[in-house]
Amino acid sequence: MSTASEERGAREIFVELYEEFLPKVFRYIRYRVNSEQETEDLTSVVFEKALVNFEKYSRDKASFSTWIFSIARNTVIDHYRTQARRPALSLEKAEIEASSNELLPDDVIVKMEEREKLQVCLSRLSPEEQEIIALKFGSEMNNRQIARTMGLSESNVGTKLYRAVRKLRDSFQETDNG
Amino acid sequence: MDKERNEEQEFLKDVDRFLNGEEVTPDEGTNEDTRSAIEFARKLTELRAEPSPEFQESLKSKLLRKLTEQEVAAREKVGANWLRDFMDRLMPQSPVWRTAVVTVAILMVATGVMWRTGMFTPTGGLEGETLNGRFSEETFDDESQKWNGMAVAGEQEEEEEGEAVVNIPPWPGAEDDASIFGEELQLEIEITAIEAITRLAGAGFTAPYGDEVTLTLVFTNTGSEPITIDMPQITIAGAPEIGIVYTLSAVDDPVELIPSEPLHMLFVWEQQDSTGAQVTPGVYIFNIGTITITRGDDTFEIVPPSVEVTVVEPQQ
Repeated sequence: MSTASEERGAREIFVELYEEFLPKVFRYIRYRVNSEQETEDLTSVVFEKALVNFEKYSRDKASFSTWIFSIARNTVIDHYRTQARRPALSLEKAEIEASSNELLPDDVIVKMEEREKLQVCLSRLSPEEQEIIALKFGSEMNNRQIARTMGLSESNVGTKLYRAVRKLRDSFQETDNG
Repeated sequence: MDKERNEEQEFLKDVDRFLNGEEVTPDEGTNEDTRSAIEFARKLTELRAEPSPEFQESLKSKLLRKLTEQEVAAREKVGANWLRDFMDRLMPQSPVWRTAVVTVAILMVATGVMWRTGMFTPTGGLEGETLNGRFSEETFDDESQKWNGMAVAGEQEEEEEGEAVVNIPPWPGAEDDASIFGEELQLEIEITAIEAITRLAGAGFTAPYGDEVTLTLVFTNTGSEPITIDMPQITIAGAPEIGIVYTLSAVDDPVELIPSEPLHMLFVWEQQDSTGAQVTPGVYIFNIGTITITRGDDTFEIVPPSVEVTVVEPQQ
């Protein structure tokens, strides 16, 4: 039987990990799905799974980062599977959503519009490119961690990331000009 | 090819640096394409969505509540395993002996049933049954589900003559050392941003006849905003035929509770009824009404579990 101090210890560890990884998991999922609501729902699912399986997690086998992001990746994949396909986000829809926030300050509105455009452009990349961007900029993983997570070589990750960011930039600029 | 490779390395190095919060200025030799890719990567970082504080707080509360439930379930599982191991050790391994033991046990139960129904005594019936037996039968028939949920028929034990002690399965989260003679009753209520977790520390308390009984409610606000607590009255009820014997008044004004600072509310009952007379030995239930919690414009309610105390017959 675990003692009160051990339980408090486990609770404190979980809270610390939650506070450190929640923003990263949230950002990763936000890159992978189309709406804030979906992001919150899936983030909740990820941490609930982590809590239920926390006893099974072994620090010797993998870092907490690798473990939690493998749960996050699988959760996103399951989400797509249940939805059959990822609905493409149209630019028109993004503009309508952004224009419904007229009471917000200008800089906030500009940022929201840019985020929506970025979401549209991201959805035009291949799933692998989207995943690399999400792991790099959402999870803040280094290339070695991304390589291990995706089963690629580290140099391959670097090349794909460089290419994906330039592709995304071009798509974003085209949207701006269009 | 080497030039392309160098541009890629320059890009990756700069991205890692600004993700680590460092200032980044591309080298002068960096070509325009890579320079603009680095700038765009910086924009990607700036445009990242952040979880709202409300979401972070509510998910944290939800997870902590689940963690508490898991801990309670684990404790109960350990208890069940202990009982199973104990029974396994008690039972002989040989099938012949197992059969013999089970047969003896069935015979003992059958004998007990026949004795209880009066087959072995000319007078029959349940004469001599203690206060405990009568009280519990009526309690379970007449009282609320909450009573039924806390006490299970068959777990009643007849103690020494005149004593009325009911063994109650501990409330989830209760400490194992229940029924410590004279121990203070303590109900912990942890209030998170949107919900409350009640935990009874100790269950099935006994109190010496005539002693003060102190119920302590410990409130902890684990949310990030102050809250106010509206404390209702607490009624103390005896057996159904006795009903409510005493009422501890409600706290007049709502009490403010700031985050992280525990608040202890003490309620003392001098084992007297409303006329000031000492109550008779027996089981008494502290029924705490609905506690109202207010946080800003939000209001929610907690219905804590009833707390039971057994007043023991004075020693002769």
